Amino acid sequence: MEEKEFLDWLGSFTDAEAAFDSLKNVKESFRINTLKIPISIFDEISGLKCSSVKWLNGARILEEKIQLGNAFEYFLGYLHTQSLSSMVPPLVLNPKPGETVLDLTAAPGSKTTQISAMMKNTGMIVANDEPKREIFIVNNLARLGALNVVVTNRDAKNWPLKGEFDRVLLDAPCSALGSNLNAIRRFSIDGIRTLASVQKRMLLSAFDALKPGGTLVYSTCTYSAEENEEVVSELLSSRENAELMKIDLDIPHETGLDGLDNAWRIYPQQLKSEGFFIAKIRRVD
Amino acid sequence: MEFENAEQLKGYLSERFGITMPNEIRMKQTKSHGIRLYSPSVSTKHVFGLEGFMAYSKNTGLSPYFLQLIGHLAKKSIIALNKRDAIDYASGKPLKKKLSAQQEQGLVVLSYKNHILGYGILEGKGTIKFPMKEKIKRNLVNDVATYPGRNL
Repeated sequence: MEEKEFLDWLGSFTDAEAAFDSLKNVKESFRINTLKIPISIFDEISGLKCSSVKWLNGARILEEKIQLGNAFEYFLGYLHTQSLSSMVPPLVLNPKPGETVLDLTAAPGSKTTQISAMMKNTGMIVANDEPKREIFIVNNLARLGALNVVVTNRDAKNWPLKGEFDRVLLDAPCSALGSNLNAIRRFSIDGIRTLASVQKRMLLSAFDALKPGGTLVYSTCTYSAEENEEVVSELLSSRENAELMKIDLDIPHETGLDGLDNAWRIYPQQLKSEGFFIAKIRRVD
Repeated sequence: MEFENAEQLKGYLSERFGITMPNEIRMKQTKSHGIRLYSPSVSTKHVFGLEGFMAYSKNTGLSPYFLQLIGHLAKKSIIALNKRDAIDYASGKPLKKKLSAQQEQGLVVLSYKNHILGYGILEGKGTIKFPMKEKIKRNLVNDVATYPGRNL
C-alpha cells in the first residue's frame, strides 16, 4: 500500500496526519527495571537525560541522542527499552504478587518482564512463544533478573492447560501498522484476513486458559478492525461467560469501534508512541 | 571452573565469595539446560518448560547475569574497577590490575561505584579475563553515580 492510500484508510479512524507524524518522531523510551533497582535509586544514580511519564511511575522518555544499548544502566540491567504504548497492556492486566499468569505470545519478553516486576518475582508467569523466538525471552529474563517465569513453546492457538490462570495476556502477532512504518508497504486485505483468523483462534485459546473470574487482556499494535474489534466480538459471541470490561486507567485513548466502547484504541499522537489496541475481558462464571 | 550440580555451585559461592543464596532464589540442575535459577513459587509440575534462566552450564560457564544479580551479597573476592576498566570490561577486553598478596586466583566479582558489573577470571600477574563464552561487545558512553547504601 502507498503512503497516501494508507493515510486515507487511517483517516477513517483518527487524524491520520497527526498519527503518522507522531509515529515518525517517536522518542525512545524505557522502563526502569525494579527487579534490579528501586526507582528512587535509579533516579539518584542515572545520568541519562530523560523525562517521566504521568501514568507510569517507572517509565521514562529519553531526551538525548544516545544509544540506550550502550548506556551503563542498560549493561547493569537497570532498564529495558520499551515503547510507552506497549507498557499499557500489563497495566491493564494488573497482575498481583503470587498469581499465576500466562503470556501466550511473549517474545521478546518486554511485557513478561514488566509483569514479573509488577509481581515482584513471586507467583508464576508462563511465557510462551515459538521455539525460534525463545532466545529473545530467555536473554531478557537473564539480563533483567526475572526469576518467576517458565518459558514454554506450545502452539498459542491450542494452549493445553484450561482453567488454570488468574490472568492471561495475548499480545497477538499482527500487521503492526501502528508500530512499524515499513508494515504499510506489506499491508494487504488478504494478509489481514489471514492474521485475523489466527488471532481469533489464539484469543479463544487464551480465554479458555482462564480460571473462573480470571482476567484476559488482548492487545495488538495495529489499527484494522478485523484484527481488533472483530476478534474480540467473535470471542464474546463464542463464549457466553466472556465479558468486555471497562479499563479503569487514566491514560489518553479513544474508544473501540463497532460498539466496543470499553476497548481502547491508542493512536501515536496520544502517547507520542506506537498505535495500540487493548481490550480487557473477564471470565464471569 | 566446572560444577556438577547446584549444591556444588552453592558451596563454591559460599567459599569463594561468602555468598549465602537468599531464600527467594532457588537453583536446580536440569538434564540438558544447566543449572537454573528461579523463584520458589515457580513449578513445572503441570507445564512443560524451563524455569527462570540458566546460571551455569558446562558449555557457556557461569552466567555474568547471575553474578550481576547476587554479586552485591559477596563479602570477599570483589575487585572494584575504575571507569576505564569498567568500560573495557563491558567491551570484553582483558584487564590488568595491581593485586594485593592476599588475592587468590579464580573468579572475582567486579564492581564499579558499588554497582555489580559481573565477574571475571583472575589469573596470574593480575590479569582479569572476561568470561569468554558470554562476551558481548559494548562501548559504554555514559557514567553512573555511586550506588547508595552499599559498600563493596
